[in-house]
Amino acid sequence: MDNQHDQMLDQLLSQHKKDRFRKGFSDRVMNRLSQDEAALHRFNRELQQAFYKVSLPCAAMALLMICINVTSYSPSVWLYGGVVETLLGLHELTADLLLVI
Amino acid sequence: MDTAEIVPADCSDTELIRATLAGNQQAFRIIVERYEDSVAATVFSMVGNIPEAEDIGQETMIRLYQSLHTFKGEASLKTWICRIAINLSLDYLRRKKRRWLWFLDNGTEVLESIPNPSCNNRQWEQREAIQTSLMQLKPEFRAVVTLRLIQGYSTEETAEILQLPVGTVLSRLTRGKSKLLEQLKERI
Repeated sequence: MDNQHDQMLDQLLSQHKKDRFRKGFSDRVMNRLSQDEAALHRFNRELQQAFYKVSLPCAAMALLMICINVTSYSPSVWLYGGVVETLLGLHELTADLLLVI
Repeated sequence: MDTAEIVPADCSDTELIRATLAGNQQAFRIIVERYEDSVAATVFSMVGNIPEAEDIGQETMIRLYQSLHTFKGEASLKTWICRIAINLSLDYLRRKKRRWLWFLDNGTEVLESIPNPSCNNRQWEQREAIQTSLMQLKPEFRAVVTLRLIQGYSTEETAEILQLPVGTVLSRLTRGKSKLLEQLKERI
């Protein structure tokens, strides 16, 4: 490339008047930022509520099953393992039953 | 959360970043105001003067805010912002190209331009010629030309922003300038 053309191009581009954003750009950015943060907080709060809505009934149900099955809690459980299954009443599940489920 | 402390507008970038990370939104506003022209110049040169350019500019600032805690100060804040703006512009151009390929099976970009009433006809024609010629360059060449020749970054800084070797920047610059000159000769 010709050196003179090269310099001319450099000059032309450096003088190229730059466009600007519409007035109030920083206001729009700050508004969007606060909206995004508010949306994120709302999402976190909803996620937390959903977690409690699901996990609390599950925990309550597990506790209830433990209470119901605690009578079958005997030394044989310790000998043959399956403490959790016994407590939750799952020790009676057979392979056939699992297939049905 | 916004802390009520007033931050002077002439604070250094480091102080503004520290204040922003401490929850001072006013400090971040100063950063936005300080660099909005630089972001505008980068984005407009990359995607043209289209309505989406402002969205890319806003997204640049939002991404900056979200990633400010990872800023280690190895590069200047301006370089960091410019890198975000360039990457978002390139993402936009890729998406746009995919859309065109999908609908028209044609990868050429369409220049949508908004006339600026503050320019006279001659200036407007010249600006249009430069902008149109820039748009004809492939995005990777356009990024180098924008940073090196329009924004005035050094070759090393351009390489740092684009995360490319200096040699690649130089070769893209030479090819970009050559193509740009061909385009401009036809238009001016």
